[in-house]
Amino acid sequence: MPRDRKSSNQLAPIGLQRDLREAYGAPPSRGVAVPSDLLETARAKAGARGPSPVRLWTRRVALAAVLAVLMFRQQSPGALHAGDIDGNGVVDIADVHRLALALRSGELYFGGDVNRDGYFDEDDVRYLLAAAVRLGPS
Amino acid sequence: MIGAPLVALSLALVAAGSPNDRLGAAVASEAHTESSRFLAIDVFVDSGDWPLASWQIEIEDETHAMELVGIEGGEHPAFARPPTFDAAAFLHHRVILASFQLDGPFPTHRTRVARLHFRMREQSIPKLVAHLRAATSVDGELIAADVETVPGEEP
Repeated sequence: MPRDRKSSNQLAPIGLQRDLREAYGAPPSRGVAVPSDLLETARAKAGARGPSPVRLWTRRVALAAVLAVLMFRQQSPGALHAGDIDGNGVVDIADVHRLALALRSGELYFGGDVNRDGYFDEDDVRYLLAAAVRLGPS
Repeated sequence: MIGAPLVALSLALVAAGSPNDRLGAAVASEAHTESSRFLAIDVFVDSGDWPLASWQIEIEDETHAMELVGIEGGEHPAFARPPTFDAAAFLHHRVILASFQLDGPFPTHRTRVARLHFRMREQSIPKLVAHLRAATSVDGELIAADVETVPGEEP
């Protein structure tokens, strides 16, 4: 049997079903008939179990993201720009100097990758220095 | 008989000059009326007793009559190399200079950190406004300092 051949119980497209119903009438019902009271009981049990695991996981991730943002804002309220090491709201030579000192000392500095290339190296210092002297609107 | 008019015509064309010659004369005339001169401006930073490890200065030409044409370093070995700046400053009347040094010795008190070269119109009077944005000491801490711009030696 070819692998791409559809199985017999697979439904035809909606348009084709409509055409077939017009030509041959409605198909006979298949499967086991379920009484309505059993269906109600099953629905009640499903509702009692609460939301699905996927929904619960999504809510937890969203809550964690909100908490992370709030914690970051509490730790450095003035750090508005990437590379604003001292958190005074502007990127200047003081930030560049501190970044260079941190790089030379070899300390693990999580905010040092200012050019977002995955590494904390001299390129970050050069990037920040260029940003500090960049001419904006006067 | 025909040679005399041809010679006269040739002499007239030579006397009129080529189009390029006339264009050159016009440019020379314009350069004469818009004569310019060059001016060097020394930038000093006075950090007092604090060793100066980094500095950042913004300089603006309020008259818009000067054109930045060159930037040199300072007198102290720590800042002998030209400072970092945005190349767009050559097209504007404003420049932000910055430099830092990790290894000493570092200058203290008043030291020349840069020299700027301007081209300006002959009759214009320069008016530069310098503003110290930041200066740090050896450990990266901000320090108070004064900035001053004075006309330097003529190139």
